[in-house]
Amino acid sequence: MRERLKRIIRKLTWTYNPATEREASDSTARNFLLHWFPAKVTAKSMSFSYSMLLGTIILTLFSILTVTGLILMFLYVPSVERAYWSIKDLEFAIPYGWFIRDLHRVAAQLMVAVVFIHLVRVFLTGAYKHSEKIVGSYRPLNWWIGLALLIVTMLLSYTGYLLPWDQLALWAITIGDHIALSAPIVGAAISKVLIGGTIIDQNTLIRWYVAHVFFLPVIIFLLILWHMWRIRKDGGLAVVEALGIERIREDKVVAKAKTYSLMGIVTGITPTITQYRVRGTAVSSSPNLTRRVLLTFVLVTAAAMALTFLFKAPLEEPASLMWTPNPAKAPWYFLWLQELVADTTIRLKGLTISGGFVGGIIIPTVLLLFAAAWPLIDRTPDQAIGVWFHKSRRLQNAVFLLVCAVIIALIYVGAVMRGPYWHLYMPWQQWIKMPTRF
Amino acid sequence: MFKRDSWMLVIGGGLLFALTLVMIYKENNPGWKQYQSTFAHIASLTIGQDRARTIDRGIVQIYVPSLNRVDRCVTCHQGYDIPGMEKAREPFTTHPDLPFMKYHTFSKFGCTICHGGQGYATTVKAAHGLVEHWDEPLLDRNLGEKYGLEQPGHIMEINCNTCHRDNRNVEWMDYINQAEGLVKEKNCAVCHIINGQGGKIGPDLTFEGDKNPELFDFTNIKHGPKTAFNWLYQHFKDPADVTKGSAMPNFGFTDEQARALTMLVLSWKKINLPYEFIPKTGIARAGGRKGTEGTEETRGAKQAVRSLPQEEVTTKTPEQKSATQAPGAGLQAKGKEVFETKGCTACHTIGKGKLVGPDLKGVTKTRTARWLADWLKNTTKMQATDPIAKELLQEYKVPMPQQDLNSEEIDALIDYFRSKDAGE
Amino acid sequence: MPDNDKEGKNTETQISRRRFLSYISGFFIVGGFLMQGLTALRSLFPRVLYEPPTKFKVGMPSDFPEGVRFIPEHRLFVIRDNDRFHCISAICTHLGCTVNLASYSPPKEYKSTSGTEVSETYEFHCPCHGSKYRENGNVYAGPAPKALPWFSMYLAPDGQIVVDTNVHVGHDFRLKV
Repeated sequence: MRERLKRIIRKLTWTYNPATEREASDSTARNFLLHWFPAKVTAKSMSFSYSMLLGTIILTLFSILTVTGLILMFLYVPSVERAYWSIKDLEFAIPYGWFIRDLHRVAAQLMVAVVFIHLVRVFLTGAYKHSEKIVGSYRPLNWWIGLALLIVTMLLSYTGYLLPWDQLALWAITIGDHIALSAPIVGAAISKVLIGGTIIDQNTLIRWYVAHVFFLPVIIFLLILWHMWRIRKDGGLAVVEALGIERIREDKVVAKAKTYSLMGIVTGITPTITQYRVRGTAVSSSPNLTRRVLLTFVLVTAAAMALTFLFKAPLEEPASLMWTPNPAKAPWYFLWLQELVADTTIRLKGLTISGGFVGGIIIPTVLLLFAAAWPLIDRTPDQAIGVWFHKSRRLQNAVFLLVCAVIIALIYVGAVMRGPYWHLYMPWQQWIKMPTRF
Repeated sequence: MFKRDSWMLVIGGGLLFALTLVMIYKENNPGWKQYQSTFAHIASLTIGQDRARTIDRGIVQIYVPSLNRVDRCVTCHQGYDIPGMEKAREPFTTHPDLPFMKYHTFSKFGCTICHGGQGYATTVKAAHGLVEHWDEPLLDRNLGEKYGLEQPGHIMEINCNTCHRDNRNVEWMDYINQAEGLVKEKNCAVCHIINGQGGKIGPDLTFEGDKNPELFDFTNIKHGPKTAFNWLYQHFKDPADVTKGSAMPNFGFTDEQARALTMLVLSWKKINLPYEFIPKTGIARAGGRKGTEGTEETRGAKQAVRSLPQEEVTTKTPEQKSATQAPGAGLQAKGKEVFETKGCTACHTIGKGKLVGPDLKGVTKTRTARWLADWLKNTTKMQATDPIAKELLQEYKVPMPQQDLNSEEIDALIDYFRSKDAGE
Repeated sequence: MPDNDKEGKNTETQISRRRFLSYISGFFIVGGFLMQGLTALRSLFPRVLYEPPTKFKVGMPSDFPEGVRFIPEHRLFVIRDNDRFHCISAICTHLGCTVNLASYSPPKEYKSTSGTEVSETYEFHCPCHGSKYRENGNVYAGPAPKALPWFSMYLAPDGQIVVDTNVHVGHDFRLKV
């Protein structure tokens, strides 16, 4: 009996703990959850020093967000009368409500940060570049999917922090709405769709809610799947190209049993296949890669929990159109845009362009277009693919880092140096104390 | 590298496990549990174990759907409705059985509608409203002491009067009653709109209690905290000092009067009251102002139906009434009464120097009776047409508001002025 | 396993140590996530309810007419017999519908289970699945498994009748006023 039980357990778990090399390479094909991994993977691809495991970290955060978000959907009421108070309930009365909400928020903020760092990493390693070496590979596509993922992540954050229906929420929508309104021609129509009218009310809340809990998560989930699939199609992380690929032509008849080549990159017409073999140590994905993924999962979850204990999610006063908080600040990841819209109103003789349009639409759009076009513009050699700070890309890396530094500096200015009435304060200066009622 | 992963997994797993335990510990050891176990102990000593055992545990709340309030105060203040706990210390003591408590039952009103504070909160600081992003602090003794009230606990009258705005001389509301007396005496409505009617010289005060504190100008506030309460207090003490060039005269209010007026003004807030919460009639101070109760009663009935009743019905004692009806010498007396009750004294004196408006000593000698009657009748019109009026406006800057006086009252006033001038 | 292959073979101790490590980490990780799952589940069991209390005042005794009075907001019947009151639930014990009052005049005669002739002026009939209850709440027809419960009543200090739906009482219970 015990033996039989053991056998059943073994049957269910062998893919995660293969006993032999053969089992290890089989496991990725036999287990549905593992089949998106290649059978073998280079040590460099799963090293922290190259990829910083950012994709896995993001995936962990996304999982945390999905789970906590699903629970929150049971506890949150998307109505203007109840929304704010259901958050108060989460904070004070619902068992573990404070934890679930705070963890959701911490994970969301971390996700925005890590997605941004991921973009920086991919740029600095030149991993978006196209090379002719691998058939079927077109890395720029994954860069574009990545940009889309960044936008959807920001939208998820934006729609998410509106749901508590407090002052932060209300005035964030107001500002967002007016940025949309400042766009020529289509502005009014976009605003009408976003707000569901002209005054921010129940119509708006339910729209943002449905976007936040259904449409955007579904879109981001599909994009993530595509992103993952593209990595496989591109032959793994870009670092394998840096490691060097040798082309081995093996004219062999494919046996009936399925075999999987090293990187899972197979091309050619059966029965003759051409294999590309990567130099460097390659190890079985199961259990080496799976263990590392699990480790990342566990560590990121633990870190998010620890941060949850340190940072309580804020909840401002109930939403009121009667008064605006002073200063009304967006969350930190939008502060660079808020700083931009405050500074970029252009006044030329008789012509005034609102900062909402310049800073809120033109500048981010130009940045995004540049980012999107860059893989096509970049003419640096293939040797730069998958290498940190390759010398041929020194100038563009410097410019890119400068843009990032400006964004971070703007965030810092917005977060620390802007007091009531958006006055500029030095970090060591005390903000003016705003009067209270009692 | 992979061996290290296994070790890291042990560490990471341990961390995750430990943090989960921390979370469970934090959830299961909230502050209110300590209060409840202390209370159970005290209660079993005071009211007996059998009754103490029946007390609810866990988060307890009074849910008042019609006021949209959820008050979890009673999670810690468990003794509030248990007779016999009167001698227990806060937060365990029984709610004082004040005379008006039978109209304000716990189940119908909850706690925060009167006391302020954050009903949803279950931590001491947040529940008492002493946190950022909560606009309604607990109106308790500490707050009263902060502003130097002689009866600090009575700062709560602010919330009483938010609902009882239209009732006069309500029992217990000493500060508000005092302030309402002053409002009538100084006739604030000459310059300010209160309850939708009044003059336009000063700002509309109908919902001054809702005003965003950021809109007060604190440049000239030298003492005290940067709060709306302090601003209003300082302003009542010396209007022109706080708001330079203010037309509002210094009425020489005492500190307590200024505090009372501040509380009154802060109580003027918007509030949504379902029908069953609108204060009913005849809740004037028991025993006080006998003979006027009937008037109060009928007036109250009218007010209960109207949303924001304005008219200040001056209830007159029989003596006053007979005095006004007497002819001849009575005319001067009536003029005196009009002068004192219609708010003239806010801007004018007779023989005591100029305030906002000119001293009226000798006015019957410098102006004809006809001009005076005209002026009192068509004040605003004459400010635009009459040369003397124009000149006066230039000198005193603040235009005299149009008064709602009938010709009998005007005659009486002029007669009164004349008698004053002749008296010397 | 490549990482253990420095000496070309896995020693006994290496294997047992690896297994030990995986057991510990497995315990921590599975245990941690399990606890997390349970706490998430716990959050769906509310600690406070936005519901009317189970103990409530129904009015002064003098407000009640002789006979049965249905109180829809609390789903119960208050029955007055001179100065004696009792209270029967209006929630069908079958599947929770609200039973309707069926009044009879002249009174309905029937034989009780003990064989004696009984007459009654009202009954309770459930509209959903046809359960029928006698005036004391006992079920005599339809799928209902149990009699309608009687609730405890007492007088509040202000003289109003208080019903406590948490306390069920026997058929001999009467509140005397």
